[in-house]
Amino acid sequence: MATADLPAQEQKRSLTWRIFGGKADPILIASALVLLLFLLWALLPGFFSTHNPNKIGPDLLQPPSRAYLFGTDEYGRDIYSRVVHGARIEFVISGLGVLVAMLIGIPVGLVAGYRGGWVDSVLMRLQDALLAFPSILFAILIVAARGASQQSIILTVGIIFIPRFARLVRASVLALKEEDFVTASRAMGASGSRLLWRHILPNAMPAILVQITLTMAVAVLVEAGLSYLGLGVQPPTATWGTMLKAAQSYPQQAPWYVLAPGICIFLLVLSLNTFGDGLRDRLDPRVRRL
Amino acid sequence: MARFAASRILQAIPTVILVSMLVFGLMRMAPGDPATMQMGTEAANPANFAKLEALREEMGLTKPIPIQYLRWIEDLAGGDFGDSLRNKKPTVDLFLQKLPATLELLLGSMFFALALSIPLGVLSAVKRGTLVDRAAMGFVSAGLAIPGFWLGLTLILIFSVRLQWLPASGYVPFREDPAENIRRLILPAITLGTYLAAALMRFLRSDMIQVLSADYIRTARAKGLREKSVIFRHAMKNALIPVLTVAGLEIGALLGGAVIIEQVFGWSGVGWLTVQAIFDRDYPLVQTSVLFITVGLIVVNLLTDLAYGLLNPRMRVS
Amino acid sequence: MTETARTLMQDLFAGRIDRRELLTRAAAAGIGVSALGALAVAPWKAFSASAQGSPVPTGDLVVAANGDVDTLDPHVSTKLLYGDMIRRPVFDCLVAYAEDLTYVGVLADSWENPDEKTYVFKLKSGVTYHDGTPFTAADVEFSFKRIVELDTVWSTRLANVDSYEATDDTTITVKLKDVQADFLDGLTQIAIISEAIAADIENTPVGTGAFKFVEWVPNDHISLEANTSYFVPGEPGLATLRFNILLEPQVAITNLKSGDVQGVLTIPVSQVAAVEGDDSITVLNVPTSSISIFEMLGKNNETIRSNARVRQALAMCLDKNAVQQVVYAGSGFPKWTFVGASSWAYVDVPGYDYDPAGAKAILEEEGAAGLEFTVLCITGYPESDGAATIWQAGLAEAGVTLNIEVMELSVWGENYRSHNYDVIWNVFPGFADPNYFVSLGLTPHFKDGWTNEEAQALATSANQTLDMDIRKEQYGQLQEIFVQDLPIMVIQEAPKVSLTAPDVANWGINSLSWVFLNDVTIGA
Repeated sequence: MATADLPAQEQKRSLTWRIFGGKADPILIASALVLLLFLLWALLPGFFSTHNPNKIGPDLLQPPSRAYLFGTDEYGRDIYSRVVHGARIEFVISGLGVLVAMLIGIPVGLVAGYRGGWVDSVLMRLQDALLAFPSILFAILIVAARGASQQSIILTVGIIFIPRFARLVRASVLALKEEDFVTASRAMGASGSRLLWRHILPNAMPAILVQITLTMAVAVLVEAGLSYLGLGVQPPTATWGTMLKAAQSYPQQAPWYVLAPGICIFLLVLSLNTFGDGLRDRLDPRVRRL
Repeated sequence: MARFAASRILQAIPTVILVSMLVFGLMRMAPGDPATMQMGTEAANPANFAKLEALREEMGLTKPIPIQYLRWIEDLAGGDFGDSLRNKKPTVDLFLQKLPATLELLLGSMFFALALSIPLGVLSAVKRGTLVDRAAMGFVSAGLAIPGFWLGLTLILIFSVRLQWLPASGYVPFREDPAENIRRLILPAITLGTYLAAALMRFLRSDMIQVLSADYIRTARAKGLREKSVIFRHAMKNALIPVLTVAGLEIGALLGGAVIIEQVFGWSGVGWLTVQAIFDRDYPLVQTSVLFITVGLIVVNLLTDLAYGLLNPRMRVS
Repeated sequence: MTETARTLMQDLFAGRIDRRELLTRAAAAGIGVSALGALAVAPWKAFSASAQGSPVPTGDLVVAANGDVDTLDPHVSTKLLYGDMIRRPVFDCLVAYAEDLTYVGVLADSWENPDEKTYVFKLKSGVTYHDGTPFTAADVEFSFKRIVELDTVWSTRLANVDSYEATDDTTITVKLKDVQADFLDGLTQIAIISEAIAADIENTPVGTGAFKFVEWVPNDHISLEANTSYFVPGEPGLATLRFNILLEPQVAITNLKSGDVQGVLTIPVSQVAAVEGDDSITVLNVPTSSISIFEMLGKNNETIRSNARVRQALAMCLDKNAVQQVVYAGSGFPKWTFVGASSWAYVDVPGYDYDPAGAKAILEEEGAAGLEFTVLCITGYPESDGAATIWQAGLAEAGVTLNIEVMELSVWGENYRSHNYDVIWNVFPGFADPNYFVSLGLTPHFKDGWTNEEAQALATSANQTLDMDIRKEQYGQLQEIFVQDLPIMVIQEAPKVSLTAPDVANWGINSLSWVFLNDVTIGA
C-alpha cells in the first residue's frame, strides 16, 4: 500500500482531481452513469415509478407491456416500479452496512496499527475470528439471533466487513508510521489523534474509497444470498434479492419476472466493481488487483 | 519454517476460542428453542407444556449460558463433541458424514476455477487489448457480479431441464457410482467455481502483465528466446505461485458460497447441514460444524502460507 | 368374518365393485365397518386400487420430499413428513382411516365397545415384523406403555386411558377414564412396535409395514425396500422406495423433469401453473381439510384481543378471493369455520364479506381507527406472507397498518406457544375429528384470552359422547360462536399437491393431506 511513492505530481493533486480529472475512461463513465441512474431511483423513486410498488392488482404475472414495463409479479404488482423502489433499499443496506463496517473497522485498524503491542494482538485476533468462518454462515447466525429485518441485514453486513477496513487501515498506519513526516510531526509534539486525523487517515483515504465501492458490491450479493435463504427484508418491501428469489418460482409462467431484479443486481454489482477498479487504477496505480 | 508454523498455530488458538464463544453466544441469543422445534404443533397444547419443560431440561437448556458454555468446553476437552439435539446422533458423525460431499464440491469448483482461469488469464495478459482479452475480462466482470443461486438455477434450467444433459441435483457418493458422482458434480462445481474463476483470472492477468514487464523477462527476450518459451518457462512460473496462494486463501469464500449452492443443487454437504442446524436450533451440531469448519480453514490457510514460503524463499525472511 | 363380507372383498379386489359400492352393499348386508376391517385391513388406498400387484413387487420409485424426518422413532416424531415417509410405509397401527375418514382395522381385526368407556380389540394373527418376530397383543401393551413412559406428545393421545390389558395373544382390552369420542382417532398414529427392537429403534425402525427400512442419511435420503410378506394383498407395489430430501419446490420440480425423481410429495399449490400442460408430469391436486388461519388473540394487542367487533372489522378487510387466486392458484375452499368442509360436523357459517369501508366505520365506532398491528409469518411458507400481504392491502384501505414479520419456524414456534404476538399466521394439517383442532387450536385460547364459557363447555362436552347426533349438534353450535367471536380467523382450506411421473399409479392422498405410497406402482 505504498501510496507514498506515487509520482510527485500525483501526490500534489487533490483527491477529487485524481478521481474525476484527466483522461476520460469510457468504462468508468459508463459504470458511473449506471450508478447515477440507480442513485436517482433511490432518491426519487416516486418520480421514476409508474405504479404504487405495493399496490396489489388483478393482473397476475403479466408479461411486459406498455402499462407494466417489466410485467407484473404474483400479486399483480408492477415489477418496474418495485425495482425502482428497491434501489433505495439496496443502497441503504449496502451503504449503511459499509458505513457500520467503516465506523468500527477504521478506528480498530488505526488503534491497532498505531498502538501496536498487545492491543494490536487482541484486536487482530478478533478480526481473525471474524474471518475464520464463512461470512454467509456468520450472517445467518446474526440474522437468526436478531430476526430477519433491514436493520439486521445492515448490522450483519457491517460486522462481517469490519476486517476489510480494519486490516487495510492498520496496514496503512504501519506503512506510514515510520515515514519521515510522521516522525517529524511526532518530534514536533503532535498528539496521536491529531496525527491520525491529519496525516494517516488522509493517506489511507484512496484505498478506503476503493474498498467502500468494492465492499458495497459484495454487500448487495450478500443481501441476495440471505434473501434466497428466506432471511431477507420483510414483505411487502421490494428488494432486488427478495424479488429475484420470488421470481425463481415462476420460470415457466413468467420467465421475464427474473430479468428485472436479476439484471439490476448484476448491473449494480458490476458497476460498483468497475467503478471501484477504475478508482483504484487512478488513486493507487501500483496496488495489484484483488 | 517450523518456527513460523508453530507461531501461526499458537496464534490460531485464541482465534478458535473466540469463534467458539461467538457461535455459542449467537446461537443462545437467537430466539426459538430446539425443544419447541422438536414438538412441532403439539408444543402449543397446554397439555404438553410440562413435557416441553422436561425436554428443555433434558437438552440442558435451562442452565445459565456461561455454565452451558463451560460444560461444553469441558466435554470438548474430554473429546466429546456432543449429540445432535434433533436426532441424538453424535455431531461429529453427522459432520464427517457430510464432509466428503463438500470437499468434493470444493475441489471440483477449485479445479474448474483453475482450469478456466489459468489459460484464459495468461492468454488475456499476453494478448492484452485484443478481442480475446476483452472477452475474458467480460467474463471476469460478469462472474463477479452474478448472484450464485441465480446462476445455478439458470444452469439447471438450461442443462437439466431444456437439454437434459446433466442431472439437476443430488449427491451420489463416489464409491457408489463414480461416473454418476462426476456427472452430478459438474453443474454445482461450475456454479460455485465461477466467482473464483473470475477473481483468479483477473488476478493472474494483472500479475502476468507485471511479470512480463519485469527485467528478467526483458532479458530473456533480448537473449532471443522464443516468445512461447518466455511465457511458459519464465513468466508463468512466477505468476502462478501467487495465484495458487490466492486460490488457497479463497477456500473460505468458496465454502461460504457452498452454503447456498449446496442448497440449490440438493448437494447434501456440511454447508447445508450447518444452515439447517441453525434453523433447527440444534446447538451442539452448529457448534461442532462451525468449529470444524473454522479449524479446517485455519489449517488450509496455514498450509497455503507454508507452501508459498517453500515456493518463494524471499517470503520467509519477511 | 362373514361369508358375505368375504364375497364382497373378493369382488372388490377383482375390480368388480368400487369402494363406494362396497360400503353400500356392506351396510345393506349388515356388516359394520369394523367387521370389514377384518378383510380390508389397510387404509383406503387398498380399496381404490384395481391393480392386483404381482407377488414379488418390481419397480423403484424415488420421491422428492420437502423436508427431513427428525428421528426414526415412531413414538417420538410428530412430523407430518414422518407419517408419509416412515410411519405408514414401515409401521402399522391398530386402526387407520378409510377414505371417508371412518376407521378401519389394520393390526386390529375388529373391535367392540362393551360399554362407552371400553374397547376390546381383536388383533390380526399371523402378522410378523420385518425381522421375523410374530406380532402379538403384548406388543400393543408394550407400545402403549412405551409411549406413556417416554412422555412424548403422543402420550397425550393416551392420556385418557385408564388401563389396558392383553387377555390373550390376539385380544387387548382398553378402558378409558372418561368417554372420549376421538379415542380411535389417536390410535391411527400410534405405531405398534415389539419390545425386542425398541432399544435400537432410533437406528433401525423395524415394523410390520409394507416396506422395510434400509437407511437414513440425514438431510439427504431415506430408503426403503419391499416387505414381500406383507399381509395386505397387492402391497407393496414397489421393490424399493426412496425419498430424496429436496427443500426447494423448484429444485424438486426440475428433478422430476429430468427424471431424477419420479414423484414429489408436495409443492405449494401456487407452483402448479409452472408444471401444468407438461405431459411428463401428472399433477395430483386434492382438496384437504388443512386450514390456514390467523390467530387473533395474542397477548400483545389489547384492542384486538378484547373486542370481537374489532376482530370482525379486521376480518372484513381480508379479500379471500384474492388470497385464493394469488396464494392458492384459484384452488382450495375459502371458509370461516375450522371444521373440514367434507366432514360430518361441518356447518356452512356465513362469514364476513370483503368491505374495507364498512370495516373502517366499525373501527371508528369502536374507537380503534388507525389501528396498527403486526402479524407473524413463517419463513419458507409463502402462503403465510402471501395471505398477510393481501390482508395488508385491504387493511390499508380501512386505515389500518399491518406490519408483516416473517420469522424462522423455531422463533415463530416460541412466539406462538407463549402467545407473544398481536396476530399470528398458522396452518393446521387436515384432521378427521373436530376435537383435534379444538384441543390443539382452541383450548390454548381458553386458558389465555378467549373467555367464552358457552364455547368452552361445548368444546368439552362434544368429545365426551359417542352419540354422533349430539356431537354434530354441539360442534355446529361451537362453529357458530367461533365465527361470531373470531378468536381465530380461518382463511381457507388448502389443497395438497403431489406430482408424479406419468407411469406412477395409485399414488394416494387423503383429505388430511396424508400421502399413501404402500400400493403405488411404477412402470406399465
